[in-house]
Amino acid sequence: MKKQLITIVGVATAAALVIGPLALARKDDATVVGPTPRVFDAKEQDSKDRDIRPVGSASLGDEFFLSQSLSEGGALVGSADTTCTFVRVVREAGAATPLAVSVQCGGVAKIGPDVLTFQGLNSFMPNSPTQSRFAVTGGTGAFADAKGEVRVTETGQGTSAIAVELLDA
Amino acid sequence: MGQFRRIGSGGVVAAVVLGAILASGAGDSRAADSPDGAPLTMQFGAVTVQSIRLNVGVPAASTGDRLIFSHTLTKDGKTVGLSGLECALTSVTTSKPKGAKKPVTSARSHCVATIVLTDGQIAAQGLTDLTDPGGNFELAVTGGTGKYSGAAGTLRKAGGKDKGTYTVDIITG
Repeated sequence: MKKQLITIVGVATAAALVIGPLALARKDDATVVGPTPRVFDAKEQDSKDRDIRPVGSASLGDEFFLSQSLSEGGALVGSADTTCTFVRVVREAGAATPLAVSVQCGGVAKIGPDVLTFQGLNSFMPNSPTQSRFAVTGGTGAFADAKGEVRVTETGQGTSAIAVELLDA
Repeated sequence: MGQFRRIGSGGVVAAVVLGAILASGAGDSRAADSPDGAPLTMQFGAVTVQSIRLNVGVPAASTGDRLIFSHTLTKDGKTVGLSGLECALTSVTTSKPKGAKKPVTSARSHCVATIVLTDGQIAAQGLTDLTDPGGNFELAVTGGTGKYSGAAGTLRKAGGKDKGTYTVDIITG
């Protein structure tokens, strides 16, 4: 998802985005980093930005769409499709580059025959993390009644690691 | 786009506050003290920061319009979180009740909301009667992250268009 953000937010901010982690995702939080999260390697298959007026810079209501393939242990196991909307854009008056943006995303991961849905609000600003967090909101099949969270960590251009950590039913 | 509230010189302040929310450990931490399965009620002051209605076609509210807005959440005068909401108008009807001078518009809008607090997120969604951003609503909590992982319950906003109160009643994982 960072690729889309980079496109929309601008190169300067994008460079800042990847400089270092902020404490949004506290990696030492035992609740977040469980002993056995299921981790998928995600690879972008398709993406598109919808730039709502004013065009050319991040603004409220801008959207981006992302479709990824999911692999686990080297084997293709499914897909993840996510829609995101800019719900807050903080910038100095007249400045093209925002100081910070908040993006709400909802997505559906299809893993085998089963579906897992997720939703989250993540903010990005200079020195912000390369990790995003999402609440698991439901699912079907093996994921029926699923609760927990999803963490997405960018690993490269168009690739990311998706950790799914579900609570015991 | 008329409802877009541009950020002026306060932008830096807003960004700093946002950074503080993301980076600090301040804020309401009662969830950390609440055992799983125990009911938890949290209340926050809410101020609309930005809002917009993206019209589809006609300027008046119509099916397909999108409402996008965010609130800064406060407790005891301190900023402790933020929210983001997106609503899609799914049904809009206009009628003129007998004796009324003006037509009355009623609508249903499907809203998806996320609250970010220092110790996690709370996700919610539901059907509201909003035709413009910033009003009151009641949504079902569908999940959470961090201390709110597995949360279920209700998220309500009361108090008016640009200010109000968030009340979160949840049971965590």
